[in-house]
Amino acid sequence: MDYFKTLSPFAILLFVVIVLLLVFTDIAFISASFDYSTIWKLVDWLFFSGILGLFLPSIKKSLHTEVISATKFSGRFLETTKFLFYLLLFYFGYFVAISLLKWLVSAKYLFLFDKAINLVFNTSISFALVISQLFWLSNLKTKGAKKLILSFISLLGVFAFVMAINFFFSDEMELEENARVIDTFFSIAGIVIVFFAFKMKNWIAISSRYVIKRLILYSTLMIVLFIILLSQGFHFQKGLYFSNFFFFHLTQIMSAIFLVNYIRVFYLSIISLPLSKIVEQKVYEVNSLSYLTKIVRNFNKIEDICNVITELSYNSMNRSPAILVFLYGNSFEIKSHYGLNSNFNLENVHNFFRNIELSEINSSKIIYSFEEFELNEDFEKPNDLLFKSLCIVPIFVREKLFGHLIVANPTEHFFDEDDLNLLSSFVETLSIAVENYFLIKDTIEKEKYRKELLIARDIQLSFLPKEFPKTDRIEISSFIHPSEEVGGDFYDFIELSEDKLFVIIGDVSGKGLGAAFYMALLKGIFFTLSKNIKTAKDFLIQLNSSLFRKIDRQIHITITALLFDFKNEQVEVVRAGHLPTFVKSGNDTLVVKTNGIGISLAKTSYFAEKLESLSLNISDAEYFVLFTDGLVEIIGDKDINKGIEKLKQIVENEVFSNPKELVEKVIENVRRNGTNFDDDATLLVLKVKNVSSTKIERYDREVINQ
Amino acid sequence: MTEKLSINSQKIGKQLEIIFVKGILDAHSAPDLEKFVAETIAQGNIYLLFNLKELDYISSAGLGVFMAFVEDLRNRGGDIKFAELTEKIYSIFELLGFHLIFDIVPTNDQAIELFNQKKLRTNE
Repeated sequence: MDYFKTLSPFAILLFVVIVLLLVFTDIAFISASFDYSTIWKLVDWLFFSGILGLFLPSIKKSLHTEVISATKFSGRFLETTKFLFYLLLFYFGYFVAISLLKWLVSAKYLFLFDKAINLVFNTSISFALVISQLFWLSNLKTKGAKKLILSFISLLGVFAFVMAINFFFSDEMELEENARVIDTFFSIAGIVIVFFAFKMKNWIAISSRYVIKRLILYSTLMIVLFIILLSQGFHFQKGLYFSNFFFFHLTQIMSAIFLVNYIRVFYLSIISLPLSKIVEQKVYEVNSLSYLTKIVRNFNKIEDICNVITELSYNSMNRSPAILVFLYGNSFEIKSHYGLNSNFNLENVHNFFRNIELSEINSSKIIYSFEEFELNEDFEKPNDLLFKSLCIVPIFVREKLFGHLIVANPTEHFFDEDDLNLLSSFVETLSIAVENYFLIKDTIEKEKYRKELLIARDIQLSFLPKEFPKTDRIEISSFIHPSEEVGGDFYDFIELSEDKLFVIIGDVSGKGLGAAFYMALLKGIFFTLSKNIKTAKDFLIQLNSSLFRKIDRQIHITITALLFDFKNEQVEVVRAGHLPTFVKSGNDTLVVKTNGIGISLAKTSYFAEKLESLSLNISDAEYFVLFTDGLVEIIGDKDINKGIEKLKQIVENEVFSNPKELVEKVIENVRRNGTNFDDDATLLVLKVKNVSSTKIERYDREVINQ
Repeated sequence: MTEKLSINSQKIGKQLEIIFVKGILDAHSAPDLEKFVAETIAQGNIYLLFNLKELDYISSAGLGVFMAFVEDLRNRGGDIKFAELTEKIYSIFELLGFHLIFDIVPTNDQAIELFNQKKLRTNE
C-alpha cells in the first residue's frame, strides 16, 4: 500500500478513468453497437498512456533507492533483452517476408499457411514476452512478488488451455467475445507486472559503464521496435495477420508493458551514465584497496608492496607513470616505478628531483601542473621533461616523512581531488605495511636481544662453580633457579689451602643486566682478594672498601661468608646484610643472624665497626643452610620473614641424611605450595662430614709430631 | 590497575618533610618514590622523615632508593630517618643493616626531636 502513497493524485485519477473506460467499452462492445476498430484503438492507447502516467513518479523515486547485487541482475536483464531482441528481429523479418509474399502472390493461397505460421509465432512471442517479463521479475526478493508470479503463471496456463480449446471448437466471432474477458484479465496482470517492475530498486546506477552503454543501446532498439510494433506492426486483421484475438491483445499488452519498462531502463541508463565513472572509480578503489590489504597481510618485502602500488596507481590514473621514492636524509631512492616511458623516464625523474626542493613538498598532498612550475623563476624545467601534471602524495611512517608517491601525466591539469584521494589511500596502506615491517623488525630485534640475554644468562651461570670442592670434609648440594632474565644470585667456593675452605653466597640487589654485571665483577674481586684472606670478616671489609662509592648507589650486595678451618675445627660465619644462615646440629637449628651492613652501603670504617663475626666449633655444626631472598620470598609468598620461618621448619622437621635430600625436600615443599619460581632463587646446603674421624686423624698426627 | 604505591608528604618545619609511603615498594614502584624524593630535596628539604606505617612490602630495589639520597643529604648537613616501621619491614631493614645506617624510631615526634637536635648541633 505504501506504493500508492507515492503516486500523484493525477495518476490515480487517470488510472480510475481508464479502468472505468475499459469496463464501459467492454459492455458497449458486447452490446455490439460501437465500431470496434476506432473505439478499441482509443481505449488501447489511453490504457497504455495511463500505465505510463501511473508509473512516472516511481521512475523518479526508484532512482534514489539502493540496489542489491546489481551486476548479477543487470547481467540477467541483458540476457533477457538480447533474447527478446533477436526474437523481435526475427518477427519483423517474418513480417516483411509475409508482406512481400502477399504482394507477389494471391493472398488466398497464403491464408492457410499464414494462419498456421502466425499461430506459432504469435503464441511464441506472446509467451516469450510474458515469460521474460516474469523472469525479470523473478529477481524480486519479496515474498509477495513470488506468490504473484506463481499465481499469474498458473492463471496464464489455465487461460491458454481454455483458449486453445475455444480456438478449435468455436467459430471466430465467439472467440472475439471471449477474448474481451481475457483481455481484461491480462490488462490487470500487466498492471501488476509493471507495478512490480517499477518497485524494483535501481540497479542501473551502480552498474559498470560497459553494462550501461549496452543497456542504452538495447533499450533504444527495443523502444523503436515496440513503438513500430504497437503503432502498426500488429493490428487485428491488418498488416501482420493475427488469427487469434487473444494472442493479438496479449502480445499488444505485453509489448506495451515492455515498452514502458524499456523507456524506464533507457531513462535510468542515460541518467546513470555520468555517475558510472565515479561508480567505476569507487569499485576500482575498493577492489584495489582490498587487494592491497591482502598483499600487505601476506607480504614478504616492502618492495613487493611498492611495486603493487605503482602498478595500481598507473592503472587507476589512466595510465599515468608512477614512481615511489623513499627519502634517506637529503638523498632519495626510487623504490619502484611503473609505466615509465620516454616522456617520463628514470633520468628525468632524477633531473626533476635535482631541481625541486623535497622539503617544499613534504608536508601536504599536492597536485602540480607545470604551468605553475614555469611561473616560478627558480625552477628550471629540464628540457626533456615532457610531463605536464604531477600528483605528489607524501608517505608518512610513524609520523615522519618517509617518501613520496609521484604520478605524472603529459596532460595539463590532469589530476583532481578524487585522484589525490585514491592515491592517498594507496599510500596509507603502504604506510601501514611499512609500519608493520618495522614492528616485525622490532620484534625480531627484541627476540635477538632476548636470545642475547639468554646467552648472558648462560655466561653468568657459568661463573657459578661447576665442581664442588674436592675436600672430603664437606658435602655440598646446591639449587639455583635462574629468573627469566639474568639475575644477581651467586655462590662460590674457594679452597684457600688444604685445610681451609671459603664459601660465599650473595645477591646483587635488583634484577637484570646491571646486577649480572656486578656479579661478574664480584667473581673477579673474590679471586683477587681470596689470595690473602685471613678471616672471612677481613674479606668482607676488603670487599666493601673496593666497592664502596665505586658502584651505583642504588645497588647493594649482600653476602654471607663461611670460612671453614678444618685444621682448628672452626668455622667463621660473617653476614653482610644477607639473610640468616641456619646451622643444624642434631635436633637443634641455630639461626645465625649476626650484625652486618650490606656491602657498599656504608663507608668501610663504619662497615667494619658494625660487622660481627661468629666462630663455631665444627663439631657443633653439621648442616649449614644458606639461601637468597628469592627463595624465601617464594616460600613465604612474598613475605621474607614468613619464608625464613617456613624454611626453618622444613630444615627442622624434615628427615634427611645428606644435603641433596634436604635440597630436594625444600624444592618439593615449594612446588607443593603451587608456587613457581619466577625470580632468582638459590639454596646451598653444606654438610660437614667425619668430624670425629678427622679429629682422631689430626690427633694422631699431632701425637706423631710430638 | 590500582596504584601499588602511594606517596604523601607533609611539611613540618624548615627543611623538614615527612614522607608517608604506602603500599608496595619494589623494583617497579621504586622510580616513583625516587622521583618524589628528588623533588622534595629540590625544594630545599634536607631533613627527610619516612613514615612507613602503611608500607606493606619493600624489596632490595626499594631499599636502594634511600641509599641513593642519604649520602648527599648527609654531606649537606641533612639526614634520612624512619618512623613507625612495622615489624615485618623493620626485620628487612635489620637484615640489611639499615638500622645501623639510619635512625629508626617508633614515632614521628621522636624523629622530629632528633632532627631538631641535629639542627641545633649544625647551627652551633
